[in-house]
Amino acid sequence: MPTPILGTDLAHTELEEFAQRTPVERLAEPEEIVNTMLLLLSERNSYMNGQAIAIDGGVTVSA
Amino acid sequence: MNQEFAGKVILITGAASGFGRLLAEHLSASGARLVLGDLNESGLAEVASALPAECVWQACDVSVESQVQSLCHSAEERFGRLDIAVNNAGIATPAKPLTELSEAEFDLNIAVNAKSVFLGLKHQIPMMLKQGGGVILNTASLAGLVADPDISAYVAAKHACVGLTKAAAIEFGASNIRVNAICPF
Repeated sequence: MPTPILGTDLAHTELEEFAQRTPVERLAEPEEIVNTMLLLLSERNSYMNGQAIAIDGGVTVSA
Repeated sequence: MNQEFAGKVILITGAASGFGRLLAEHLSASGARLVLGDLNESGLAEVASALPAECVWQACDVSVESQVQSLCHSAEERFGRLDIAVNNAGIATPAKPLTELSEAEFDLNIAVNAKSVFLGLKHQIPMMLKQGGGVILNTASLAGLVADPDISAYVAAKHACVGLTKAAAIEFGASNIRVNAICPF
């Protein structure tokens, strides 16, 4: 499943280019995104409000 | 099995595929009662029929207020409450330079990726206010935080999604409603 920033139907080579932009050198597995969604929905996450959480393998903090 | 969501009433849009589908499968396996919407009615029917827990589903174009309202009404009618809402449905149009983007493509991005979130919040929050609280999660994108070339309308719409998340969070935080967004790459 291509992640939302990528749009749909990207060729394998394009996906590989995106993967290489991440400090972890791979794209997310869908499960990794959904696991974060479950964390955010949890009652144990009771004090987080109004946040937009990047799940990006570190893309936005790399120079 | 994660019992935390057992019995909770959880609405998910864009549930026929992608993150929405996967999330629905996880939550249903945990015993959550689901209210699912998607533009793809046959795909949604297929997903819903395979879920282990109780669920109600219907075709829903999230950019049309009457359809979003109807989906929320289904939660009320079937389960009498709404504990969690996940405004997850979205669209990506083909990448192209801003100068080549049509007005229709721009409008479609705004309608499905931004207006839909407004409509969801508008109709989900009153139900949560009535019952004393709730949780809302919006599926934005890393394009809601930073820009990438050739997806300007998507960037604009996802920034709007993040803006709506913040606006709703501060308006209704005191009413025990949390609103957050995810921004996947």
